[in-house]
Amino acid sequence: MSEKKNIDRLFQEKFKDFEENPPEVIWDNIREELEEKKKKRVIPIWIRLSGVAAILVMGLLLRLYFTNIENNGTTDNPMVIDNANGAQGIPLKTLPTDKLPKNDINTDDVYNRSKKPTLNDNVVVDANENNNGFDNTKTGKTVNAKNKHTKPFSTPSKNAVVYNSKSNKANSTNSGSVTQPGNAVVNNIALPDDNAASKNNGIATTAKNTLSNSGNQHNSAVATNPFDTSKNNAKSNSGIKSDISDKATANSAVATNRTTSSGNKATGKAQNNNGATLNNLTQKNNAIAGNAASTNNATGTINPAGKNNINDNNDNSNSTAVAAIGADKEGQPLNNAATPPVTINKDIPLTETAIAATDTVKPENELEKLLREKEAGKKEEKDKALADNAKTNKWNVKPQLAPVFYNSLSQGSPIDGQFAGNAKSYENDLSYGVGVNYALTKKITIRSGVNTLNLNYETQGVEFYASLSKSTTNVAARTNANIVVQNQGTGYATPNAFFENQMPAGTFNGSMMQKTGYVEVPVEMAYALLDKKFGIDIIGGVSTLFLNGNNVSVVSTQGYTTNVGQAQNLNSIHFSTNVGVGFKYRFFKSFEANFEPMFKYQVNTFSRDSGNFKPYFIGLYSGISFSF
Amino acid sequence: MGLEQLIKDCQENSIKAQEQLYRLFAPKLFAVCLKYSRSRVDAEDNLQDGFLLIFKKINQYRFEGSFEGWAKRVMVNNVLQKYRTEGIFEIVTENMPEEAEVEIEADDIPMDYLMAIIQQLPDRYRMVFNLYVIDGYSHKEIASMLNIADGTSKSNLARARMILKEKIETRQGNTIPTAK
Repeated sequence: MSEKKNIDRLFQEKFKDFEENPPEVIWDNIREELEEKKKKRVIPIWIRLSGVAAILVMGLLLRLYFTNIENNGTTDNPMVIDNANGAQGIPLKTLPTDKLPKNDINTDDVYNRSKKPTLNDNVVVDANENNNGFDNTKTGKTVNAKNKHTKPFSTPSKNAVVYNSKSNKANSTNSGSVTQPGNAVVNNIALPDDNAASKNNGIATTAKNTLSNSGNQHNSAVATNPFDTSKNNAKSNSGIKSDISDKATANSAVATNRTTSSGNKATGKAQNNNGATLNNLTQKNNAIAGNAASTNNATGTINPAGKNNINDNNDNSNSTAVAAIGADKEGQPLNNAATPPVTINKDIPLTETAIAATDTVKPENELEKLLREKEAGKKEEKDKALADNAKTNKWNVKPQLAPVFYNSLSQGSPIDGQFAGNAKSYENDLSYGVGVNYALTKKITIRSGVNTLNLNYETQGVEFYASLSKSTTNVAARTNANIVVQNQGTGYATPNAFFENQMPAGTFNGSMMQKTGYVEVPVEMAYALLDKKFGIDIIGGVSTLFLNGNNVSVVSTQGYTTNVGQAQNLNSIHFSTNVGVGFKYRFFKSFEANFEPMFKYQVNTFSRDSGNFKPYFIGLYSGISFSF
Repeated sequence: MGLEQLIKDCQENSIKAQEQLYRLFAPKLFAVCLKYSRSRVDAEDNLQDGFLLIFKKINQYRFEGSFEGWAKRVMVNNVLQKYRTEGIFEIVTENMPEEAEVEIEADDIPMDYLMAIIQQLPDRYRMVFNLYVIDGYSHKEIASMLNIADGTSKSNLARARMILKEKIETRQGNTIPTAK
């Protein structure tokens, strides 16, 4: 009965064909889950759409915001944007550079009126061999330094902490970190902080965009290579170091300025004697102000202007502040613009001994804000890039299809006034064709194309009969018997009514169908309200409609159809005025899905006796366009 | 309607097709769940989850190889995954001499009992035993599936065999005391 057996084989045999029916409830559970899943699938689409909508709205607002700034900004060459306290919304002014000696570095004056909080701390340091008299002037709050290359100087590629030595004496050499009295020493410590850098870039780009639109259209490019530009500047301006310090990146960015000396002799030619800069913060403000001052100097002097919000740790209680000094090789006086920020605790006159080290710590809130803005800016940029990309494709071809809803604004009948009061039913038809768009500018597009169009309607409550002697008003008579259409109950209006009355069966109740067909050639203009991945256009224009179908027929209540003839009062060419809104969604690089509800009001459709019939139609044009 | 069409319909998310497929394969797959799970209740849970997984992944079935085999693999993987996330496999590895064969007195042992003792095995022993003995995976495959060493798999198997043998013999001892 029992035999020795391999345990493996025992189980294998037993389990080989083993099956067991699970309880029914399991399937019920599974089905429930499956059905639930199907329902759930719908939801994320809406969530996604609402997300997209939110982003679009945000993008739009940002765009408008920047546009405003742009309009305000009047500078051709915005180099640097320094905003001390974004949160505070302190408008920045820029220094006119007229007074400044020229340097290799061209600084353009930029007026920043942007209230936008952007963190750009730019430190521009000029080293000139000879530092002679300095003009220290108080300047507007911001200084823009520009480059020859017209690249923005101010793009923060690195985080630099700049020390400005207070006193500049004659220096034969400037060692980066040495702060000797009498020497203007600039220490540029570049802390490459990837995160910070990236942040700054983002911010910078936003700022730039706003500015740059006025000045340069290529701003975005510039923004993306902030690093290079700064390098270039440094190179081209031998002896000038430009440092950009980002406080933002460090979160608590500290800028220490020590310095400002009125009398600087700069000896080292390559080295920078002057550092301008400053970012300071008042802890109150939490804001960081970094301002770089810039000037256009043919000869190569830079006036960095810095704002300092300074907490003074220094002995110099009087002076706070700021300033960047540029020394000219040629011995030209420099303009140093020191801008005492509103938020400064102390104003420091620029005297030979001046200054203050300021440490700034940013509070978290500020940072978060910046971060958010930066992100928004990035997004904006992306969209812009996308849009720009599309811009390059000026032509756009679009097969389209539209359900057309025909109607009339007033009662009336193009056939005969007697039908004006009759009920009419308008047929909905399908229009199809090809559209061609040409982008004139970023915003404005000229559109044309060809569409077929059938407009049919039915006049109800008519009666008709055959007659040799009469014909329906506005319908071409035929050589054989005509069909006369009239309102029901009118009776026979013919002279030989008596005769015809003998044949009452000759009249039929029914309806009259007028069919017209056109080839429509629109010429329209579209203005882009929104031109991103998702776009909205306002469209207006006219269409020329060429008549290519013309027929009037009657349908008896029994359903028999008889041709009556062609309407004689249709113009072979007429027009329509078109207005509409276009929605488009770019789902692929060159492909867009379009949906354009258009209202087209027909003008001059009938040559005469239109019976106050004012037809219009609404087309829901949709299609997929390809741009090239 | 052929199985292939049925599967295609399932790929289209037809609930009717899914039900048919379920009816067709549930008994076999329930058997799989029973032997891989700790208890009948667990097995029911696993069956349910496994089928949901099958319907979710059915688009990945490329009509290569038998659908049943594919479904079984999904089912087994589902169970393994579940126990893995529960961290059950963390039992102390013991070094057992590998015994190639374990001989037992094989009289008519009821299926229920066999199933019960399998389910009572520690999780990893159960997995290894099932995978190796009943479903024919190699130690290498098992090792990678369970993320353990080859040797661990082998010793787990040996240990599982010993436990099963003991249980069977105990039962035989109890019910048929004299049977030898």
